[in-house]
Amino acid sequence: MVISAADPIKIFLAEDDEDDREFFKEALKNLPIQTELTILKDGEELMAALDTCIPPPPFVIFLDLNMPRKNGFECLTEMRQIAKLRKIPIIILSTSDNEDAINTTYSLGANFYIRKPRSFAQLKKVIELVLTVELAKGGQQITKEKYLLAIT
Amino acid sequence: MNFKKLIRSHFKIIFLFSTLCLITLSILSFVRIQNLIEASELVTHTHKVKLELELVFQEIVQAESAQRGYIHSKDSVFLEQFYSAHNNVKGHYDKIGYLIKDNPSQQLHFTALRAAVDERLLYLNRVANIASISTISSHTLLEGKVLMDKVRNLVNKMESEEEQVLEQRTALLHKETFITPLFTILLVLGAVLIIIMAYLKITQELKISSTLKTAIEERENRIQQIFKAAPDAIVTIDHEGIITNWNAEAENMFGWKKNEVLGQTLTQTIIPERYRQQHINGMKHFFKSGEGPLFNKPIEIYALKKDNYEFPVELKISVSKMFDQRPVFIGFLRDITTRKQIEMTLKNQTNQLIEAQQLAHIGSWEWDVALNKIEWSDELYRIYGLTPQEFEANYENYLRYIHPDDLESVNGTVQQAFKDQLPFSFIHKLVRADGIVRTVSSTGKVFTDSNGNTVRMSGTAQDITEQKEYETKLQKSEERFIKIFDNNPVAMTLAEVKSNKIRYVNNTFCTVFGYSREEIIGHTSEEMNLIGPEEYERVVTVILDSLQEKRTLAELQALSEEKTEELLIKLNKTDTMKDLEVLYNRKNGNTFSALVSYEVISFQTESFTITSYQDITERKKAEVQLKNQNQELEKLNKELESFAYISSHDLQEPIRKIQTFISRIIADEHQNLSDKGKNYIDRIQYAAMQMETLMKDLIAYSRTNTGERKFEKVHLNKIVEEVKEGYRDELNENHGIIEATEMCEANIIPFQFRQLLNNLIGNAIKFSEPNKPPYIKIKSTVKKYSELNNSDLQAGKDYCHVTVTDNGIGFAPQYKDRIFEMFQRLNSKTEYKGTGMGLAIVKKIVENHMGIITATSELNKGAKFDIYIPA
Repeated sequence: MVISAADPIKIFLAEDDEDDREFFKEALKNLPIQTELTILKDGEELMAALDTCIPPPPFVIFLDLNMPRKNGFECLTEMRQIAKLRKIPIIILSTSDNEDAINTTYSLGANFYIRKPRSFAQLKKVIELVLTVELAKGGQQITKEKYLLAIT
Repeated sequence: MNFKKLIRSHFKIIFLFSTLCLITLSILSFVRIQNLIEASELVTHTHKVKLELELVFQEIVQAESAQRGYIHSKDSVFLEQFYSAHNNVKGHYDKIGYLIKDNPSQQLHFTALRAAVDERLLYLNRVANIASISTISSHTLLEGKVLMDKVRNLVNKMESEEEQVLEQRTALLHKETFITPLFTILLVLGAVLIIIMAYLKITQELKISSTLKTAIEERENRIQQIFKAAPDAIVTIDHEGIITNWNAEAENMFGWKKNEVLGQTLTQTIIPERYRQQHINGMKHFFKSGEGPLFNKPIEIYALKKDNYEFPVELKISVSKMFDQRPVFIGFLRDITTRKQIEMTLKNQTNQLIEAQQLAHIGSWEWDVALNKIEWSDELYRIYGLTPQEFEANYENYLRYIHPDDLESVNGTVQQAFKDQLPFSFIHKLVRADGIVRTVSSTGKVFTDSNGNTVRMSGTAQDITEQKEYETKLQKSEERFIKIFDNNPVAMTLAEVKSNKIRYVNNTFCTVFGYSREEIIGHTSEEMNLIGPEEYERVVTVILDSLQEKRTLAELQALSEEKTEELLIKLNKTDTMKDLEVLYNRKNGNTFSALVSYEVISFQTESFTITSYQDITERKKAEVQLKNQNQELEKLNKELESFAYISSHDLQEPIRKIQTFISRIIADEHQNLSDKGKNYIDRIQYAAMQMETLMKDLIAYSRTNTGERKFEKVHLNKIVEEVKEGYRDELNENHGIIEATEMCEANIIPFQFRQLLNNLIGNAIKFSEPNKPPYIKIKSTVKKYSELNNSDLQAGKDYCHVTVTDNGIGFAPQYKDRIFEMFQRLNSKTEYKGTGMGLAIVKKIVENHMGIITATSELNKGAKFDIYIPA
């Protein structure tokens, strides 16, 4: 997919924590990239939004794992089973770097796993990295070694 | 046989005689009828001659009338008639001539007649000729008349002669026609007579033959009856070996029905395979030589039943001949299974008796009282330690060998026998020739003469020394057994195998079950309700299952003592009774669990079961407690797991947010803060970071407990390389070196072992001396237990020995154990960051690998960690 300056990048964020939603929104605002962010408060909302959204579908979805009603694992599973959503890159955003969670989401077909950064600067950096560098490499799932995005 | 011949020759004579009679009769009859025919033919002949003469005369008359007609009418028609008559006469001449050729007088007459007729005819011819030219004179006519008369005369003469012949012939015919029928009738009557006689004779013969036949049939029936009712199987075979008769007992004995075996051979039916060729050869031999060595004497052999069961039979074969001279073999067979068995038993018993006597070393003696001479058997000499017939045995000599202690009683017994003359027996000791003392059991019997005087005694003597010793030993051993039994700390019973009745219990049993000996002895454990009915049923089921016996309880109780004992011994060999737990009732109604085991033993002739009941009430209590504690522990573990999860996620979140907010304050609001405020913010940030590290370590530690433990064979070099990669930047920064040259493969949980090395290397870097580049050496080798010299390891096993050595600040030796405890720190936090969990985690991981870890160091001299995990 070619990103042109004219079109804002359509991004979905599923996140139940208000602070984190704000961090993400702020970080995105501070990036020199035109984006159109849709925020969903849990998995249910995300799935509903994906069902009703006006095409084109989002360029990328940032997905929290621990959410009420429908968690990130469930959303990921469902999305990978729906043909029109299968190709959308999904970036997992989670507080923990629990190995089980990493393995499970990788096998379910997520594209990247980001351990939520401990500083705002790092957050901006990792979002930028994903949007500009990593996703430009194409829709294929990355190798397991590079799945967990390291931020320096 | 002769009788039949007689009948047959008789018949031949009668038949021959009757045939001859009939032939004679036929010939005679034929002759008579032939005569009759001849006579009748002669009569006919006479008539024929007469008729021909008449006809000749007629023809002449015919010719005359025709001539007369011609004369008057001159019509030639009459002439024709005349010539034909003339010709016809010639034909009649021939016939007459033929007819009378046997009669010479008639021939004479016939010649005259012919001349007269010819003359007459000539006359007529002449007259006719005349008449054709002129008239006929009366003279001529008269001449005609004379000729005619002449003819007539001659005819009459011939006829009268024929009449005469006819008369004779008719008389002959009459005679013949009278005699022939009469003769025929007589002949026929004769033939009838003969036939009647023959008939009578034949009927008589037939009567005799039918009586004979009945007699034969009766005999046959009787034989069949005998066949049927015979107590032996009777089988007949023909010369080809094919079965021709098979009686009821044979059906019964062999299981083959008569209709099944008829037409078969013996080899196909009752002869066992090993005898078949012999049978065939025997038959062949018989036909070749006419001899059968097996005939007419009983032989014992084996036969086959229809179901192929082989059994012994007694067989007797006889051979007889059919009327056609072919032999028939009759076999009489008797089932001797029972007889054989009895014979075998008898034989065994006799053998056993002989053997028993030999084994028992019984000697015998016979004492002729009058001569005072005693006959000793060889065995008796041996009992006395003498070689057979070594000395002259008499009563005095005998008494020399008796042990002094018993001398009086032996002599007393013998003297008593003289008095009461009753059989006697006694046990005494003897001193053998070689000085050895033996114990002998003797018996004796007294024989008297007609006056009642004792003349002879005889008896036996048996060396019972070993038996006596054994009995004594047994008695002692039983006493010992009772002592051990009585004072055993485990409750025990001694019960009869045959009745299951308790014969003895020990002291502990009384204490455990609460019954006194008197209460329990003589009863079964079921009667005493030591075991409840439900529990009893359960135990029996368990036992039967393990024995794979499909018997009911009732059947089991009905078993004989031997069978019960057999089952008990069999059961004892299975594992079922090993630690079989059974619930018992005490006298006071309380129940308790006991481990039961038993042993089958024999006391003298009786079999007993010794059963022990180990009260495991206390053990059960402990088991229950242990089980509860285990459950508790499991619950706690689960809680710990969920705590670990919470800490790994939920607790991290607020810290992360604090950190993020601080980072925002530092980024956006830093210039608005006072120096003091800036300082506080810095310290909050540091504290939050500390908190995060602690969190991470805690999670790591808990994961070593709860995480998956999947062992893999991994080369440790790979793990070292991965860990090294994580420290690349730091090592670059302070010029540190990690040397891992000698590495081996190990059976490890990879992620845990990675953590282990990570912590050790991390420590080595962290606690390096200032201004001295860290030098870390890692080594791993597989070694035998004997090479390791560490008593904490398990003997005989191979270990992977990993060492991590550094050149850092080290620690004082007294802290070598403390450093592995959780939250233990040897240095201040401000100097060296850390949570005090790193080595605790390391130790935990080593333990997860069933290994041990030790640390050796001196202050400022680096540290060495030795890890041993099973290879």
